[in-house]
Amino acid sequence: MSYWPNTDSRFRAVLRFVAGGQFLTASLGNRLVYQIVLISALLSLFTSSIQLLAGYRHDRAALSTIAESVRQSTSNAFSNALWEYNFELVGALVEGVYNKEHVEFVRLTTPQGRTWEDGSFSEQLTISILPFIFEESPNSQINVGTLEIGISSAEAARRLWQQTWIVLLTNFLKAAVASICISILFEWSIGRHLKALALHVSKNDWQDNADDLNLDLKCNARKDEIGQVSKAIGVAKKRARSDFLALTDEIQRRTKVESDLRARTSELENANREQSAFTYSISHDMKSPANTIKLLVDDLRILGVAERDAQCREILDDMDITLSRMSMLIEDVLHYASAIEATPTHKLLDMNAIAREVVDDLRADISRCNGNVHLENLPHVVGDPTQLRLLLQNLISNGLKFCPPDRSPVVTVSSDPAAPQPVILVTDNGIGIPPQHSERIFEMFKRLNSQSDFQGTGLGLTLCKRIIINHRGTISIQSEIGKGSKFRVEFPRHAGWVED
Amino acid sequence: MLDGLRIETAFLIDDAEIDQKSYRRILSRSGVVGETLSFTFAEAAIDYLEDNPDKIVDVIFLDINMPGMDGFEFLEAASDRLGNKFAKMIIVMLTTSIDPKDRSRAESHPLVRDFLNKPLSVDEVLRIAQLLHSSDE
Repeated sequence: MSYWPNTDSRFRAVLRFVAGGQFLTASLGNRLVYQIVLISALLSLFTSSIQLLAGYRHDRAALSTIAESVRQSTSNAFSNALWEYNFELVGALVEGVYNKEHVEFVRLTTPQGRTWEDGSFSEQLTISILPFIFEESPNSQINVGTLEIGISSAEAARRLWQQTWIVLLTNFLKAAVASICISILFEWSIGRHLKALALHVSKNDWQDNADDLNLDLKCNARKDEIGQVSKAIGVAKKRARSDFLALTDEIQRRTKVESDLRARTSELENANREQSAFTYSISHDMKSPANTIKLLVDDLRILGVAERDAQCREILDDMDITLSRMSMLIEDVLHYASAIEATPTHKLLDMNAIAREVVDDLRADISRCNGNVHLENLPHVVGDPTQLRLLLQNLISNGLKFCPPDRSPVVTVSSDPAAPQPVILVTDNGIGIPPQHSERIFEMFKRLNSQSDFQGTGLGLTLCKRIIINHRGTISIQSEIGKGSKFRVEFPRHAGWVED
Repeated sequence: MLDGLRIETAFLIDDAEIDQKSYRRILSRSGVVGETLSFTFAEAAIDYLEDNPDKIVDVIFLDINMPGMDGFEFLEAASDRLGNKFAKMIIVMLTTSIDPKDRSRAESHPLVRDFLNKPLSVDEVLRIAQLLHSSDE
């Protein structure tokens, strides 16, 4: 297939192109042109100079042979003419010499004082001196005259200048024409296409534009470098488009997932709040009937039912015990419901102060079981004061409660200075916890002992765990049956935490 | 109809002492129960059965929520340790739990004969005695 499918329209297109003068402003092409033209101009100037210099030297060399040729051609004639006193001939010969090229001045002087002169003397002339010797006999050589020839190199110089000007002018013209031609060619076959490529790629809807590049021919048909570039751009465009679409899909999908997640979280938060409120109000409302039953039991006592028989008394006592268990349960459920509320306050708290308050609150219990609570130095913790107070209260009172009857309970509240974060330890000398149950005791309403051995609702450690979760901490147990237990509560590091 | 209905020996396995006392009263009020043995720890009941292999137990009233070994754990441990003999006993689960999961778990358990909600009543006791009577025949 011919590269010029339609010669006529192609020709017109080229003419339009040239007339449009775009090539004049093409910077890449022009730069190229300057460089090419400059280099070639320098090269040709260099070679021309060598040429001119050689020519000049040649001319100068030629001049120096003139005198020699004059001597060779006229020396005998001069000598004879002078010997024979043929002054007409001498004059003619002198004129002949003067007429020679480059000769500006001739002077013939005889020993007798006769001179023939032609031309004008000048400082710039090169004077050659030719003596004429007449050989009367082999031994006798007589000087009959001396010829001075003044040769001018002006002609050579003029010629040199002339040549130089011609060379310069032709070079300049060559350069000018070459520049324009190169510029046009470059712009036509390369520059124009580069601009089209740039324009094509920089369009805003580049990826959406389904059109392929049209660079005179469909880009797939061109085999040269421009064709490669436009083909590569086509490929890149397709790839970019599919990447872009994939990305948009992914973004849409993720946005949907995000908003679903947000909706779900909001739902869960609502459900949580509702449940917490419900639990709270239920247990709050149960206090009233619990109190009523208590009153009724007291009424029965007052009416003397307890005195009736042993069984009645036992039943009334059991009712009291059960009622107090009920109110304990209600209290614990109320505490738990408020602890699972989502937004505890976050303050930097001195746990020493809180521990002291808790011990103060438990004063009655401590003295009742003949116990002892030791407080050592505790760290600062970021959290909710009410909840942390409940935490300490539960842990300490557990330590006091679950103690075998053969000894007095001793509970120590301390910290771990070696730990990288705030740690609170509650150690007791109680009955201990079997290791297989150490997870279970945190479950709701799960107990290890009967009510008659040790009272309790099974909610204490559940509440502690919930509070610790609220504070993003962890709890672990070390225990030995019959010896005691150590509860370790770890809190996350906070801004005010200082390692001692 | 009370003739012939008899629960000679009943086990009561429940951690609450006060509840135990109430059950004993109810069982005796029903008039069909002979001996009642109370255990506040399920473990203790298994130990007793191991120590007294000849003892015939007609009904076991079993609570679910107990500290230490709970009702379902008792069933596993007892059948492990006592084998066939345990399988022949009538087990009645007695619980406050209204959790439907507990109910379905109990009902699908091969060893559990019945599932009762507390509080226990005399009518329920008579019904259980009837069950025993009909299974004997």
